[in-house]
Amino acid sequence: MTALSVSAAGAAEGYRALLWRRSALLAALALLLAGSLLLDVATGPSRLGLADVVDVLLHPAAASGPVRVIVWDVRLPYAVMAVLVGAALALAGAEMQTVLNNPLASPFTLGVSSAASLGAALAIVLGVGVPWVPQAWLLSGNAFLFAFGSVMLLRALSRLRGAGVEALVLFGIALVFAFNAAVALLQFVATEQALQQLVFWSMGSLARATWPKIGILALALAVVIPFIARAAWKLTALRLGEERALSFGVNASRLRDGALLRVSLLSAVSVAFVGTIGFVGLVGPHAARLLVGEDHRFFLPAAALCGALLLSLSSVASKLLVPGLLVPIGIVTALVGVPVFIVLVFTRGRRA
Amino acid sequence: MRRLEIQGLTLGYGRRTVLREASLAPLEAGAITALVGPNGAGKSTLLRGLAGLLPARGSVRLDGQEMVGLPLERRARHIAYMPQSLPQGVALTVLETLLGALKASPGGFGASGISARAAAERALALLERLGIAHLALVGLDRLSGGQRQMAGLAQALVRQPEVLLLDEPTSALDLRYQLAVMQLVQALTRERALVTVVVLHDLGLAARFADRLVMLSQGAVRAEGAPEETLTPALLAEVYGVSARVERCSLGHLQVLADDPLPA
Repeated sequence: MTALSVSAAGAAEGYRALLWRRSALLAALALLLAGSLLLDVATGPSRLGLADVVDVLLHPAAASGPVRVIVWDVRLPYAVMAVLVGAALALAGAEMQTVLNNPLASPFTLGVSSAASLGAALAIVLGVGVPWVPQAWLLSGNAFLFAFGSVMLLRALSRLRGAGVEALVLFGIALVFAFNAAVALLQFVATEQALQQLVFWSMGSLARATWPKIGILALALAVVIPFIARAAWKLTALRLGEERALSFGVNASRLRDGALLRVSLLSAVSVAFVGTIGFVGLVGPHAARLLVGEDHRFFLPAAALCGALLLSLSSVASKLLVPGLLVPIGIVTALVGVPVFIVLVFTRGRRA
Repeated sequence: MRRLEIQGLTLGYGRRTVLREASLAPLEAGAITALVGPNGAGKSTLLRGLAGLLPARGSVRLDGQEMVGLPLERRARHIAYMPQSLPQGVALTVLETLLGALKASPGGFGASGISARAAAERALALLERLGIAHLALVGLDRLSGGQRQMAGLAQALVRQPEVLLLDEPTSALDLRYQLAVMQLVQALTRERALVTVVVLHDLGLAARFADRLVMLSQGAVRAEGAPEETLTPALLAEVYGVSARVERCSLGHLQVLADDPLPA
C-alpha cells in the first residue's frame, strides 16, 4: 500500500494512463493474432514463406494454381475458423463466468459440448437428425440443435422462481453427466465404424472448416457482438454482486437471460462446426482477466482475442506436433494452453 | 421537505412473510434512522424491501411518489442500497466499481446517460470527499475490510441518491473504522439532506449516531422514536431477552450494558 495520499487529480491521470495501457494491450493481442494467423497459413506439409503467404493473400489471381488452392481452399479456412471459434468460445465463456458468478463456468463445463456430442452421436450412430436438413449438414445441424437446446434448458431453469445462480451451475454439471452417459450408451451399441467416426468427431477438428461454415460463424459473431457491447457496463456492475447491481437499477435476471441466449448461439455454432474444444472457453476469459481486469469494455474483447490467439497457436502446433500428421485441435489446445496459462498465473502472481 | 413515508408495508420471500404491515412515522431528510432488533427480526428484510429488492405490498412514498411497483431503474434514481459485503475475487479497481455503478443503467441519469469522462470526474470527487482518493486505482481485493466498506459506501453514494440504505455498514470493522464510517454517514446525511436508514447491531453506535431508532421484533415494529425513548431496560428485556442497563457515560453518550440473558 502506498503511504502518500494521491490527490483526485493524480488518480484521474493514473486512470487515463491505465486506459491507455489497456488499449495498447488489446492492440498488441490483435497484432499477435494477425501474426499467428499468417504463421498458421504458412505452416503445413508444403512449406510456404511468410512473404509468399502475404503475397498470395493479397493477390490471389497472380499466384500459381496449386499454391492458391493450398492457401485459399485448405489452409486459410482452417486458420480463420480457428480464430473465429477461439473468439466465440472465449466470449461465451467470459459472459458465462460473469452472469453465473462462477470462474469455472464455460460452454464445456456446463454441458454445451456434451450436448453437441450427443446430437452428433445420434446422427452418426442412429442416423437420427433434424428434418429438412441436407445430409451434409446433418451432423452440424444436430450438434447445434442439442448444444443450443442445452443452454436454453439452463436458461429456462434460471427463470424459475427461487432458482439461484448456484442451482444453475449445478444443473449444468448434472447435464454434462447426463449427456455423457447418453453418448456412452450410443457408443456401446454403435458399430465399429460409427464408433470411430464419433470418437474422431468428439476430438474437435478444424479440418471440417469450409467457407460457408465460416460465414455462418462470422454472422453469429456479428449479430451477437453489438448486444454484448451494450451490456458491458451492466456486466461490470454485476461483478459487484447481484443485489448491488439491482440497486444500481440493473435488471439482473434480464441481463442473465440475454447473456445465456448469446452464449448458446456462439458456443452451439462453434461446437457444431468443429466438435469439442474445451479449454478455450474456460481459459480465454481467465487470461483476459489477468491481463486487463474486469472492466468489461476491455475484458470482453481481451477474452475474445486471447481465445482466438490460443486456438490459432494451437492450430499451428497441431501441424508441427507430429510431422506429417494433423493432430485434432481439441487435443492440442489443452497441451498448448495449460503451460501458457500456468506461466501467466505465476508471473502475474509474482508481480502482485 | 423531502420525506419517506412507509405505510402498511408487508414483505417476504416467496410465501414466507417476514415483515407484516409495518408503518413508520415519516423519515425526514438529513436524519439517520437506525433499524435495530435481534437476529431474524426483519431489519435487513425491511431495508431490502425499501430498496425494491423484494416483492412488497403496502406503500413506500418518497415526496409523495409511490415507490412500490416502480421499475428498478426508476427507483434506483432515488434510492441507493448497500448490502453487507462486497464479493471476493473481483478484478476491479475502486474507481472502476464506481464507474460501473454510474454507467450500468444509462437510463438512470436522464435519457442521454452520463459520459465516461463525467462519470470519472464525479466518482473521483466523491472518493476525495470520502478521503479515499488514494485508493481509486487499487484493486478491490487489495483493500482492508474497512477500506472495502468505504468503497462500498462510495458505490452507493456516487449515484447521488436521495435515500441511502445501509445494511450493517460497521459489521466486521475495527473500532476506528466503525466510528469513521458512521461519522462520514452522519456528515453526508446532513450535507446532502439524505434520508438515511441504517441496520445496526451495535446499540451504542445506534444511540450515538442515529436521530431515530426503529426497534423491530418478530417481523413487526415494536417501538420507534429517539434513542432514549426506545433503548429502555424494559424494551431490551422484551425484545432481546436480556437484562440490561442503559446509562450515560461521562461524555453523555447513551450506553447499553447487557448483563445477562433472561431465561427463555
